[in-house]
Amino acid sequence: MELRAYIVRRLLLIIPVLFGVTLLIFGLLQLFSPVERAALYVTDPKQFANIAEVIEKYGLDQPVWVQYGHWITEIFQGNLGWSKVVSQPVTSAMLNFLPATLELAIFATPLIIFGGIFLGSKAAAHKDKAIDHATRLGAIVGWSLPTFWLGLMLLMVFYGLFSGLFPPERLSTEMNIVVHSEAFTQYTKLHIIDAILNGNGRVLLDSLRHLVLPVITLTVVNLAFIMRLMRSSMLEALGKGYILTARAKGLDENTVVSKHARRNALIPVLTVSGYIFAGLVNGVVITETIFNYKGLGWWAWQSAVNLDISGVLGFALFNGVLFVFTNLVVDLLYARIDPRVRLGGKVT
Amino acid sequence: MKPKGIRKVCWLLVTTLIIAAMMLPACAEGEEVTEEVAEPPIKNPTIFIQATIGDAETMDPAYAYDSASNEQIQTIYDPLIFYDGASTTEFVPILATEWTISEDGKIYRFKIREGVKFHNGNDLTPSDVEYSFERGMVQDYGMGPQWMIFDPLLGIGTSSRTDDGLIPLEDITNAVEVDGQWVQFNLAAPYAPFLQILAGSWGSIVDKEWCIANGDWDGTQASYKALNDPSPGGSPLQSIANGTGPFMLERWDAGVEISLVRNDNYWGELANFERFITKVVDEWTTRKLMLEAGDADWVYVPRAYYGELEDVEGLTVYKDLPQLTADAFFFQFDISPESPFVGSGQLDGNGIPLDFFTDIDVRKGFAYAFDWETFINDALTGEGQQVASPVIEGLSYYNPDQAMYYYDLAKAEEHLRAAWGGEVWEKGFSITIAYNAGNERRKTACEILQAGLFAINPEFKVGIQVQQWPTMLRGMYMQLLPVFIIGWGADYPDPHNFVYPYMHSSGDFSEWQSYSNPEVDALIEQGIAVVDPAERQAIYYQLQELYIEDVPSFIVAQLVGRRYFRDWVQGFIFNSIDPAEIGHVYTLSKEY
Repeated sequence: MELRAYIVRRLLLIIPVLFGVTLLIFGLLQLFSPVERAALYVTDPKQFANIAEVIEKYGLDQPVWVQYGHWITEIFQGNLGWSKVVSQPVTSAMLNFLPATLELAIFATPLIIFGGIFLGSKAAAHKDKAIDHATRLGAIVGWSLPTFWLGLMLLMVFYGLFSGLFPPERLSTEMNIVVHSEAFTQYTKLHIIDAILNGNGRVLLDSLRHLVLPVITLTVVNLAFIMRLMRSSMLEALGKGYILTARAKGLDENTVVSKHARRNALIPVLTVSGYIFAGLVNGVVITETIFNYKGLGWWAWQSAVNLDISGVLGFALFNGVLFVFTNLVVDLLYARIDPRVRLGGKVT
Repeated sequence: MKPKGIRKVCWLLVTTLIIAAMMLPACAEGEEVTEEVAEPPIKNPTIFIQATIGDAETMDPAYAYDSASNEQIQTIYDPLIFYDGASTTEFVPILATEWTISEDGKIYRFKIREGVKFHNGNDLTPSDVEYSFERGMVQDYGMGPQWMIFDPLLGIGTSSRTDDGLIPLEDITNAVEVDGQWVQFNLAAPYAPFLQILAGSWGSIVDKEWCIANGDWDGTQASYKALNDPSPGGSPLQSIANGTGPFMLERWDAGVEISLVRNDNYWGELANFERFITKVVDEWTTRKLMLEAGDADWVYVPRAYYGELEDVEGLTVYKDLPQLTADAFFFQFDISPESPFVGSGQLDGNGIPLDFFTDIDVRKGFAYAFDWETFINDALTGEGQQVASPVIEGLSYYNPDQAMYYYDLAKAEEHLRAAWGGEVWEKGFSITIAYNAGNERRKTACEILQAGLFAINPEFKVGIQVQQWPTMLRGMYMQLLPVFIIGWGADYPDPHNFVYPYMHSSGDFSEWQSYSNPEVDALIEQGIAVVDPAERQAIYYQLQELYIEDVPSFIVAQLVGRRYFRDWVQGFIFNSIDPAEIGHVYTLSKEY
């Protein structure tokens, strides 16, 4: 019962968070003059003559609270506005671009987190041995690689050199036609899940094939962080007295490392993992752009650079909800991993 | 969560990916064997795939005013007439089988083709044609192309909106009338480029019955009021389409791709492809690899990357295609006192006065200080030519013999010594000029002008500022920028479409520059209203002369472009006014 109250209380946090975030964005908007904000509609010299009309029509010169009021009123009517950069309502833009991003996140997150935890604890357990040096080197290289460079390199090699081995985009032209045909039902728009639900092996393989490079890119770049964090946290745990006790009572090294040390070392890693997952779900601009794997990140970036305010706000709302949820899940997992942590503020 | 469980999940995922990765090359290898022969097999032989940047904004022909939308619309819909191959002045009948123009140039009549069906099976009737144009004017999206229909039919500068509200519906409905199998357009005054306007995507014919069923204008005043000047996405035809064209809209994944399928009931010869797919791929390297792999038949190649495709095999390149677009340096005649780009705001060597460019010697001095040769050779790698005026090559009445400015520092010095009674020369000046971010070509042009002026007198200090589009737009609109570089692309290939924005006191650019010359205004208004080609030629020749004399701005270059196709693509026809870089997909085919 207490846990439920805790969850509800945490979820209610969403309201002030969203309010704060959107107010902040509207505040920042005031740094742009009405003419600059009209640039979303006036993209070509041919439309120059209409700037004054645009400013008036969309109320761009009205006080910020009036504009915010309009926006909030629309929100309560379920209207998030029109995302001009992708020519569709903001709601459908989010629904259309989320699946691609989710697909990337679903595959990359476990690789990053479990790979990082695994390699990090291996490195700590074998401190200053070959594996420690190797992972350290790997971490430095992975962490320093610019995403755009790595992504382009992978694409040039595995798509260019090996004639189309791992292509960009989400599906091949042929499979894309299959996916959009009447015989194929798109339940989730996550191609992999849809392919399984439709029992279509070719679509499944094709979409896996298109996932390989972006997932590798994301993994290489993000894995290093978790790995190093896990290593240091693990080293700290391994130096604790209870490890000495465990070893002294004759436990085998494997149990000592994986049961006693690793579990205690997981707390900081878990916190960061939550943010890594949330970061992947709210989109990865460069990876999505290079592999033309268009998801939320690409859309949010386009909205931002074009001052497409409805899009930016819609994305901010999504992000607010996402982070509140992620934080909640991470907090719940703390308690699961470390029995000393009790939620709800009471020590039992 | 047991550690062993973690390890298992981790390994399972890694192995799944590796296995998937290994299986797929195996599938692909079968194809690769045959690829060893001299001519690789044509990929996706029944589909034409292009990878470009920038998605369409709408599928509504009356609303669309960006080339990505125009391209899709002119593939889905048919106009009454269209350009004959590469010509910009000759037309072929499409939905009109014949047409007549009255002697005074004010009545255009078109006989409508019979037996044509829309994609949904409805018959094309003359009343659909009438509806198409009236509906466009009723909608009259403020940022859209409808001014091109209003100008000839209701008079230059008219629109559906006035300070007193909407114009009467009768004004619109009287402009286009059905007469048996014929449709008649009643022009307010002769308008020479009217046929060219009808050949644009805004001249597409829509299905009246289908439009009304989808909530579009039903002929009433109430519906006129409700649908006029929609916000983006506000048109009932925003994302649906039903034309008579060779392709039908199958799917529009906005921001990602557009898929059209062949119309197997097309009234003319069927298109060569079953599908026409346009993908939006922002990253150049990705597009390039797609072209090399044959996964795209044409990709958009930015000018800066022409060199990267020089030695790539399996491509057909078309070079030296003149573009109907002209970048120019524009002078601000009445700089705003709020401008941060004029230094001290005085002629003291640390700035310029707000009316600095009203002195013609300053403008001429600037023009003579621009090194065209270096610009064309370096920034454009030779793919451009100098033109005298906005009446560029490819427009009717272009005068190839028009004298123009050239790089001559002695002449530049002469004019700048004379400017402002010698004060400019004595004290020097300091200004900042701006270009929009991402346009390297314009950046180089600014640098060349800066270097030229500095070479004459080290006291001539020009700063260059890169600005994001919104900032630059504000700078131009608020008259903050003393000099700015920007360009215009053609709507229709007639000189009026260029002299008006560049020279008329109400033109898009010149109005912002506060440039006004009554003689020029009168000539421009006369030029569009006369029908006789000889008379028009005299007027436009004179305007080209006046542009050089007055230098309200000066053109940096007319660009020529290239198109890179896979070598299995045949049938490309270049028409300089075509919004589609691939030409009309209807004429293309894939074969060796």
